[in-house]
Amino acid sequence: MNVLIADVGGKNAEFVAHALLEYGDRKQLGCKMNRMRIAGESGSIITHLRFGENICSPTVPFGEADGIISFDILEAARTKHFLCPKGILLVNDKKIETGFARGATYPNGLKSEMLQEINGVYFIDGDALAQAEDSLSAAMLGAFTRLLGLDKPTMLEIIVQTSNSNQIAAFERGYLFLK
Amino acid sequence: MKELMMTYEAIARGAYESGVRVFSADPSYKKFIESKFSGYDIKPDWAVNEKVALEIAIGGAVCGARAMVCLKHNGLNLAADPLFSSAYTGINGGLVIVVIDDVGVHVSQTEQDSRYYARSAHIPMLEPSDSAEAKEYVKLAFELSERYDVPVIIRITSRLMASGSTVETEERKVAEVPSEEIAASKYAMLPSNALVRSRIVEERDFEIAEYVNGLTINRVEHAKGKIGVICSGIVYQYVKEALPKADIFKIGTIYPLPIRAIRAFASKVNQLFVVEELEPFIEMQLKAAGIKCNGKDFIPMHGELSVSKLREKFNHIPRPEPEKLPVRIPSDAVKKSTVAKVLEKLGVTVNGDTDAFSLGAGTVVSTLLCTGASIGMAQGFNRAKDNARNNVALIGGSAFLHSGISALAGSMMNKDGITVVIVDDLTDTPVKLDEVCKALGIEEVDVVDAEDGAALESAVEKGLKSRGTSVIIAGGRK
Repeated sequence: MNVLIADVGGKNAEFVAHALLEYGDRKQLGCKMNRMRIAGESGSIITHLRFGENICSPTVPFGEADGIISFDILEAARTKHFLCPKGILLVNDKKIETGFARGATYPNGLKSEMLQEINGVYFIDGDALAQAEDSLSAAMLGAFTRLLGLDKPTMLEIIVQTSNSNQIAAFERGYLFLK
Repeated sequence: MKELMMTYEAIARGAYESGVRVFSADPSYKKFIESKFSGYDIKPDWAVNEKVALEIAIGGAVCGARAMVCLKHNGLNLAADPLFSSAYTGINGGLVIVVIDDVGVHVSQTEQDSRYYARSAHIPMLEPSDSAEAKEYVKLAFELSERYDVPVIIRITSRLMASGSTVETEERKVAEVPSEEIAASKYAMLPSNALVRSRIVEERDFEIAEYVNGLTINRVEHAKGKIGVICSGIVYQYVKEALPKADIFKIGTIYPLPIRAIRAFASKVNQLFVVEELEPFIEMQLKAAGIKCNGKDFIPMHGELSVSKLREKFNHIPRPEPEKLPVRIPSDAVKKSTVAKVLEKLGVTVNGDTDAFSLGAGTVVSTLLCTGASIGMAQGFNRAKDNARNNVALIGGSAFLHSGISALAGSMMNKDGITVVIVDDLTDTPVKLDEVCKALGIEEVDVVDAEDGAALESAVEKGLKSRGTSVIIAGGRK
């Protein structure tokens, strides 16, 4: 299984990566990963996670990601070419505005392009599902767990052991949101 | 015990297990490495620059301790002076130098290939392909270092440094400190001693070149394919995944190359490819040894490789071109510090430094060459423009201590009149920048609140009108 996490800054990516790595460990899956941060604390951060035996490259080849979880629309567009034909692209329906090089602005029309191009794309209002500032990543992970068909009891056990009550509730809401 | 480690963590673990007692690096590695050593009973030295960092490590090794230093590629440029000399003097305790090449230019100014340093300085270089190898290669590097009385370089790339895989941990073994006499004939590189040592270096090179042919980190992986591929480092992982049917010669010792073993491999394959990032470092050595191969006629000389790129090159599998989307930049650079706004208002040319972005001044600099360069550049501007005094050097406190201070001392020696703005970002050192500048003989040193635009503007204007060198320290810790 190949997964990408696309984030701005990296706090949400850290939460999701930690949970997925722990999941892989409990399922006794081999793992390789890569996490490149561009432009410091406010920049794009793309995390590659690869689970299974005999994995070589720590980065996912183009067109081979089973799932991408993105916390921003632009970052989803930046990583969409990694998705495999039947892959899942879960996007927090939000524009995270930061500065862009050479005076560029946040592009328009990315969401409609992705909806047109990709069968397995899902835009969700992560903040509404989270209901608390620290729970966006947990809510998104809940939805991602369901979409990817991961073993919910194992993932929930991890969340219960590592997260607060807001995050546990957000995980459950995320899981139930996309049926 | 097995655990997932990023490559930099695995290198720290390798240092711990190898019994390293002296570790040094420039402070930019603090956030990566310090926590990794916290449980390891090793206290890292954070040097003001990479030359000093390497000198600390060499000092420790000469005294018999195992020592490690961690540098970026451009840091190794600054440390090249002690690097070349240490190859002549040799070491006593093992010395391992970790260098990180920024293939793909993710975090630095250039896409430099540090492998040439190994060849030029006659220092063995190893290149691991994942975290587990990184830890094991550190241990092997110390063995080689002590066996042949030579520093050993471990080369990784930014991509590998930010990658992680499973590592099996072992116990720490601290070697006894040998009681070797610190003989001037060996450690004082006067010309008469250096001439003698250069012959030893040459003989050692031949010995190591022969020895590496039998090392298991240089190995053949047969797939009975039609083509043979020679590769190393993270590229090996890409090749293995993209070309599962290729015969692979995986190189662990980038310098010296196991030429005899490679020649034997080359004779058994129909066509031989060298797949390497950046320069044709391996390819040119093979061609010089008369081994026919393809390389840079096939593989680009810039940017990172990947599984997808190799599939495109070898198997003609189309690679989707990622959409060109706006690149995010650090928020500080957007907000702009008060210093940046003042300099913009004054309309002066700003010779910036590598910390310009972290100072919030990334959008107002006209030049940015390398760490510490802003002051030397400002001197050059003044000379070229006959003291027109329409430019300032803008530098952070850490870059100033890194190497800007040498340029400022030089400007005083040459009686150049330049205007320097130092943004005091030194939060955890006792160094007082205003006292340092005054000690260099600079009379006009103003300490101004970094948020006080009017005071900053007035101080910079005064500096630009001055005949001598003036320094404005923005931030000025109490």
